[in-house]
Formats: sequence, structure tokens, C-alpha cells
Amino acid sequence: MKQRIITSSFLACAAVMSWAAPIEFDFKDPKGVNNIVFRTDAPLESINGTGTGISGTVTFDPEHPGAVKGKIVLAVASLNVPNPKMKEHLHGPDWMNAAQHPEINFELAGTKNVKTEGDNSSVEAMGKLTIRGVTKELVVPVKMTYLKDKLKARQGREGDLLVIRANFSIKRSDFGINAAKFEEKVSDIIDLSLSLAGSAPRN
Amino acid sequence: MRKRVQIVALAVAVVSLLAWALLGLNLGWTKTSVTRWQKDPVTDLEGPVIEQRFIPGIDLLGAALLGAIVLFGISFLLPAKKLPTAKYS
Repeated sequence: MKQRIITSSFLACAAVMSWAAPIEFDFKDPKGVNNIVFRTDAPLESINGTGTGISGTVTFDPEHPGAVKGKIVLAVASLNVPNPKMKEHLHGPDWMNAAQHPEINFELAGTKNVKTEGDNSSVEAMGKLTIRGVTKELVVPVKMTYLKDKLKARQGREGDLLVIRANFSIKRSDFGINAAKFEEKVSDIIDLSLSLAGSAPRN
Repeated sequence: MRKRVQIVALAVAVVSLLAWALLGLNLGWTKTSVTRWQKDPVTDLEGPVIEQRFIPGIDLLGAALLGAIVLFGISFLLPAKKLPTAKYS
């Protein structure tokens, strides 16, 4: 009897813990949908480009969305613009310097102003953005949508999805990206839009 | 000779204008890829699909037209008529 009570209590605790436990989501997207769009709007030229080499992991607890933590990585080599010469310059030593700094990453340390409505949460994500070897602390407004059991519809495996959307701006001069040069063609302000989906398979 | 070179210059200008117009009338820089957006039905996210495609821009058109103008200019250094061949009786 005593053994049964202990076992039942243990199983009940395990059930509660598995239900409430944070879930680790992998943002490497086999479908290639995850992307970052960057835009600059200077007096002489507007530039639009994308980056699709996304990876990283985020730990998210559906019961406590504000406790989200993790790191998103973008491969600099995946940055693309339609003009080949512009793309060469973008990856080159004067601009993103892909050879010396192959990754851009955002490390999430905490959140504030958490608002949750059903499976949708909006937070102000506090973290460190590292570009071209320069790290700056940022606060980025982020929207998260937890899609329970939707991984099967997307990848044919049991599991959950976490969708992250964010729109924010940075100054390239803050990160030493050819600072104070060519501002008539490449604005100092770069607008970024993140559209990411992370997956958490359940074996 | 001059006439021939001028015709070639005109042909370069016309062909380059036609090619630029037929391949997209692109007023920006030349592109070698275009981005098409595709919606993921599960997450509702739009993801880029990059397709390799050549679309000449005003840079290439400008270079071709400049080449045609230079060729046209060079034509004036060439004799206007075919030089008569001397006949010796």
C-alpha cells in the first residue's frame, strides 16, 4: 500500500512536471522558411535582402512565456541581395566581413512587459546582439505563438512548433559596419524583420 | 566602311534596348536572382524562395548604349566611301 502511494505520487509529480516543463525548440528549418529580411532606405538607393541560414535553440515554457531563453544564429554567408556585385560587397571585408565573422547571433537573456492571450505572447526581449564581432545590448519587441502538436502537419513528426516574429531597427554604425561611409546609398538605419519557426519533436 | 560601323553601332543600341525591355524593364541594378515569397500553411510564415534569373538593369543598358555611342564616334575616323582602286593601263 505504502509502495503504491509512493509510486502514484511519483507518477503524478512526473506528469505535472512534464506538462509544465520548458520545451527546447530547434530553429534550424529543414523547409527553409525561416528568414530575416533587412531593408535600408537611403537618399540614393533602397536595398532589400534576406538571410535564411538560421539556426539556434530557444527554450520556451507555454505556462510561463516570459521565461523564454535561447540563442538565434544567422549565417552571414546566407545574406542575399539580387545584384551580384552588391552581394560580393555585402560579404566583403568592408561590410559584413563574412570570412572573419561568419555568424550574427542574438542571445536572449530575459524579457519584460509580457502579455499573453491564448497561445500568443508578446514580450520585450532583452538580449545581446553580436554583429561583426561587436556585441550590443538590445530590447526587441517579439511576438511568439506556441503551436502545440502542429509539428506533424509540417514535418510529419509528433511535436510542437514555436513561431517567433519580430520587427526592429539597428544602426550599422553601432556595429562598425563601414560606419559613417556611403550613407547616401546605404542608410545607417537597417530595418530587420524576423520570421522564424522552431520545432520540438517528441521522439 | 563608316556606314557599316554606324549600322553596327545602331544595332548594338537597338538590341540592348530591346533585350532590356523584354527582360523586365528593370530600372535598378542588374539582378541575377529574384525572390519569390511562399506562405507556410502551418505557421503562416512567408519564406523566401530565391530563383536564379538574369534581369539586366540600367547599368548594363547604360554600358551597351555607351558602347554604341563610342562605336558611332569611331565611325567618323573611318573613310566615308570606299576608296577608288587605282587603275593602270
